[in-house]
Amino acid sequence: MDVRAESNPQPLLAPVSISAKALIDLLVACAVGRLVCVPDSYQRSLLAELENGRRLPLTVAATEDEAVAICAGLYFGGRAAALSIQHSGLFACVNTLRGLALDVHLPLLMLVGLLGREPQLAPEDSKSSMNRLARPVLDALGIRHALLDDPESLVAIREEAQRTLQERRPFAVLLGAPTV
Amino acid sequence: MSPPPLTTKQVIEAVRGYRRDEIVLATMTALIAWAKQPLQPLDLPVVGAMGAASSIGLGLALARPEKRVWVLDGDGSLLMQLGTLATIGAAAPKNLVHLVVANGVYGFTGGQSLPLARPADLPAAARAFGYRVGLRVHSQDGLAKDLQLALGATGPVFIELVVERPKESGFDASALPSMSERGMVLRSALLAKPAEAKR
Repeated sequence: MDVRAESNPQPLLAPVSISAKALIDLLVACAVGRLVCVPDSYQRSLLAELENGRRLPLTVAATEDEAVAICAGLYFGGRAAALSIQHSGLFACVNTLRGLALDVHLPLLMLVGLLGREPQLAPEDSKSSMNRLARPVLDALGIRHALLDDPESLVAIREEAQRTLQERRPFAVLLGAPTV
Repeated sequence: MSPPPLTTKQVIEAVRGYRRDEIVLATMTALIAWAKQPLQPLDLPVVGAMGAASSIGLGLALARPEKRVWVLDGDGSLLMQLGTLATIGAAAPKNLVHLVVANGVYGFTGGQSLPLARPADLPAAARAFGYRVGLRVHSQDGLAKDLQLALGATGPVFIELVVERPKESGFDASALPSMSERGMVLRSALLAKPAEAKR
């Protein structure tokens, strides 16, 4: 039994939406040259911006396993890519993350949408296993992560992401609210 | 009388004969055969991520549109991530050639049969998903001509190379070259190219 789910959840401030432009700025600041995605509801505005605009090319993959592997190929080819998926996709591609992002030491920036996250609850207090397990799964894999709940935390998250990517390690940004 | 079946060794050596400066990714039993010769800087062994070779190849093809990228895949590997046919077909990289060495078995785990009914038509599936070329080679007669045609064609190209079931199986994956190390050798070689061209 998950003890957290039975405990009294700690109230938080409701997450604030991040703009697509701010996320693209984050990607560019991390030297990302292409976004590879399996579409995520929370990142709908980001994906629409990239489909309609010209700031970064977008590649859509059929599965998250493929998306991680495409990012690996881009890296071996000398280009940096980022991954855009939702929490269920994170669980779907755990073995490929192990085999490529971890064993190959891939500097992979991951945007992971926490679809259905309850406002004012930490993800670990969610009734949804997809939200509750996202950070523990990343912890188990040894993948550093940050919860992006507020535009004001973007600068600190960007700096931590840049440091981690320079160490040739993956870094996950968890999106606690839909982008706008 | 039908011609004798191809072997993995025959098809890999035939592919090697056409190789010039292409990036070559190899996985599973195709890698065993490809690694019989010393690996070149533009070779990438795909180890520890079964099914990922064609997607890694797609990433390389997108990163390096000026280079031809050949993926030496297996039929079991392809089945692991069959959606790759759709993703590659949609991305439509002109420089990607996806070769599948089809031996019908899981060679690394003891030679068990694949869950693939014959005559499953993988080249037809690839064409249906948007590959520009999809063909099958199953005898020595067509091997040289079809390989020459397909390896030089505008991609994405899919070639199924049907070979006999291997007599050996249960390979030791730990003896294979490291993808992590070879990946960085490949990356360095590709990043060094522009500087070399200026000299």
